[in-house]
Amino acid sequence: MPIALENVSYTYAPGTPWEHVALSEVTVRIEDGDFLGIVGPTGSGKSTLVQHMNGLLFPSDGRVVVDGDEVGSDRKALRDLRRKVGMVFQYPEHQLFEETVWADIAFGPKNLDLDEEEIARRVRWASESVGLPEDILERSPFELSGGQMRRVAIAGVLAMQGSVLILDEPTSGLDPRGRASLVEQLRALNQAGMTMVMVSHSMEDMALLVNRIVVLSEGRVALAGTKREVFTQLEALETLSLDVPRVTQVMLRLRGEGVPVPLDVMTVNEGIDALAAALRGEKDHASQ
Amino acid sequence: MNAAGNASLISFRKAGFTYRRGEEIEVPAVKGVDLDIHRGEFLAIVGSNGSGKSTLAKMMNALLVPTEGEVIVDGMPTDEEANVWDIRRTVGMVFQNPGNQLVSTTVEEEVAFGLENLGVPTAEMHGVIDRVLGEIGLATMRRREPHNLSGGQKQRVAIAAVLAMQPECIVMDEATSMLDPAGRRDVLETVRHLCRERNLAVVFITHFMEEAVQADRVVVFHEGAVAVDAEPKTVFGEGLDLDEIGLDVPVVTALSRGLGELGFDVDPTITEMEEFVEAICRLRSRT
Amino acid sequence: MLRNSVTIGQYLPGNSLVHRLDPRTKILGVLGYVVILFLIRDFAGYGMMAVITVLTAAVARLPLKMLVRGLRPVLFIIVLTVTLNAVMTPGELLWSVGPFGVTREGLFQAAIMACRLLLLIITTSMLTLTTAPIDLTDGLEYLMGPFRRIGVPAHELAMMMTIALRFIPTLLDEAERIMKAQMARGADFQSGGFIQRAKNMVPLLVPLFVSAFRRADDLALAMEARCYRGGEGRSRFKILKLGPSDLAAGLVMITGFFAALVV
Repeated sequence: MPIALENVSYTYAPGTPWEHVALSEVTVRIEDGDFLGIVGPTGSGKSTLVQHMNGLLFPSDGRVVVDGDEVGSDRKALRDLRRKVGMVFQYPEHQLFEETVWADIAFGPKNLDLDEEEIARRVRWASESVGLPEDILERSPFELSGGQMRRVAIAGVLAMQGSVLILDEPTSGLDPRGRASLVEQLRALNQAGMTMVMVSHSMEDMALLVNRIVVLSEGRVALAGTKREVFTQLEALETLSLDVPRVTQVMLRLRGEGVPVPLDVMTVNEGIDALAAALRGEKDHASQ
Repeated sequence: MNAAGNASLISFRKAGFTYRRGEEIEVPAVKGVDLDIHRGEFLAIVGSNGSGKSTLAKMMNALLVPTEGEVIVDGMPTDEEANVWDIRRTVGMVFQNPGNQLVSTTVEEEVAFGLENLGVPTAEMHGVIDRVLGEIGLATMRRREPHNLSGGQKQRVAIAAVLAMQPECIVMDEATSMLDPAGRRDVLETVRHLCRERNLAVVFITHFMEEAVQADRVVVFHEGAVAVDAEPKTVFGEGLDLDEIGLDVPVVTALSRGLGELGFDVDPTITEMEEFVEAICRLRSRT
Repeated sequence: MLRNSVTIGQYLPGNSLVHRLDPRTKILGVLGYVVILFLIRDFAGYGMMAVITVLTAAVARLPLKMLVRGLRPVLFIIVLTVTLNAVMTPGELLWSVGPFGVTREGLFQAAIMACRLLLLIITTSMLTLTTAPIDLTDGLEYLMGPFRRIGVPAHELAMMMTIALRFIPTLLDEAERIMKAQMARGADFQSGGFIQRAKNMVPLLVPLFVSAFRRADDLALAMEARCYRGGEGRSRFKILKLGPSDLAAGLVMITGFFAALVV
């Protein structure tokens, strides 16, 4: 189910003193099975952009086409769209409200008028996908740790079983262990065929998860491409005061000292391989 | 009181804290901690979620009073009611959520809030506010509404507000965890500057080792107790099982370890970029 | 954004004559205005009051369009009040729909109510639009000061209001985000009967309350950490002073009110 934003502009509170252009002429295309990352400084329009993808916001100008249909205000079509395109907001644990974890995850499927059996199946699948232990399901979501609450909230969106999942800063505030396991689970969902879009400040998460990146700045697309293409545009990123992954920074620094390492290295494992190759390569040269 | 340069400002003496909910459920969050925080030092406390580090932080300025042992701030035991306000003036605190700790509707009022609480005369306030906002780089924002500032700016307002009360120590209770990378750097740089220039003690609480190793001293907190108390250089040298504790290592440390496993001669306890670059260059020159 | 559609409680920074008045002058002015609104019962009087409002808006450089837009969220209440007045007032029957009859007196009463409510809402929103929230609470604290002797906790009330004002935009943003999040899970806030709609609000209201309490907890802790202990022994950053423009504004207002009463 491809999603295409074509020349989308969006203005908040038009005609008031608070008028504010959040997006201007943004074009983005998401193919099936993609994992798209959206980065940009705070206030660059990232959250506004993703809310166009499931009809929570409508463009002031331009259009959004999902699966061949233009997104409009028809209520039934919108419900359909929101079922297919799931959205996990920033700090999603703040939207929990039910008495039990089970009931909260089941909220979405219930709104779809599914039968009990299907609801139960989905709740189990969703909670397994995010690694929630079985015994938690009957507890109140409000007694859980922050990390577990985050998982419950994500499971609540997954249970809609859409084909696209949008996540706004999914790992923010989690500790390293929580972060690592969530990253793993998101990767698994994508590999199982789910199309994903992630907004994040964490370049490490980007390095581990996405294939392509769109960089926003002041509501416009500043850079776009595969993550390797984007993360090697160091100067452009720096002018936007955006980081590259820490490993890439190390490689950059080593290059400055004349160590022949590639720059499109983003994760620790890639870094170790690249360094080992560079060091061995030189040894080989020396021994020849 | 002790005015000597490196003397202990905050002392935990077998201090513990147990949350009591109702009659029965007891959750010990901090257990028998012995810890000294010195004047002018930059101390990082690192631990995973639920390790009790936030409870520990709140014991430093009498927001929580130990249920066992004692905590002494600048010679004053925190469990004596009469000391509470002096202690809180001495040890200021910046909290995690930038939006929830600001009381006022303008930046300058926010800085004034603590001064008003201390009963500082109006005529003196303006001077203090000017100075503090200048120092934190917020002079041009004094009339702005905190609500419309970025997370990093809000945290700097919170720091300025604490600074106005002339504390000896600022406790940053996961104060960067909700910020974007730019805001995070900004806040870290601000408190470092204060530590260096003002000889202000900083307790920087985080769950990122990458941030923690930039301190003078690192305390790894796990299950309510101090697991390691060391300089950044040696923090990874003590057989610390970070996986068990749920923490990561800085990227250069991970790279060093990985290379070590492949048979390269790299010190696996390296924590700083410069050190790592040197080590790699050394390896190259040897070939 | 939700908070941009609500004019009541919003502050529009500016530097007009009205903006610069002492908050006490403006509060007393609005108070006087409201009292007069409820004293008069003829349209000439309301016309005069409307003139005062429009003139003040002009001096304050507030676009009328925005003031009118601000009525939108309370439109429902106005329509309801007006309708109720129209059908509930006994008197000379003009026409009837089923069990409901519209009377001449009812129509008159409804028109009066409409004028009162419209002017009331527009004028009070003008107060908050031209006065920084903090000045507003400062003004109220000063005005309540004399009542402290009879046990009115003036400082505490003012502090509560400051905090409420400070958190209104935050909570509105939060409400919008939660609403969208639940809509993304198929929640429907728009259709169904009254009871169904009320039920549908649970997924919005529960998280909103939880969040409000969490924020209150956080804030209380932060205030305590900065040595807040109530009004006792507290000094003030801002000292309010009445100036010549306040005197002038006061005179103009009194003249206006008097004119509205006698026309």
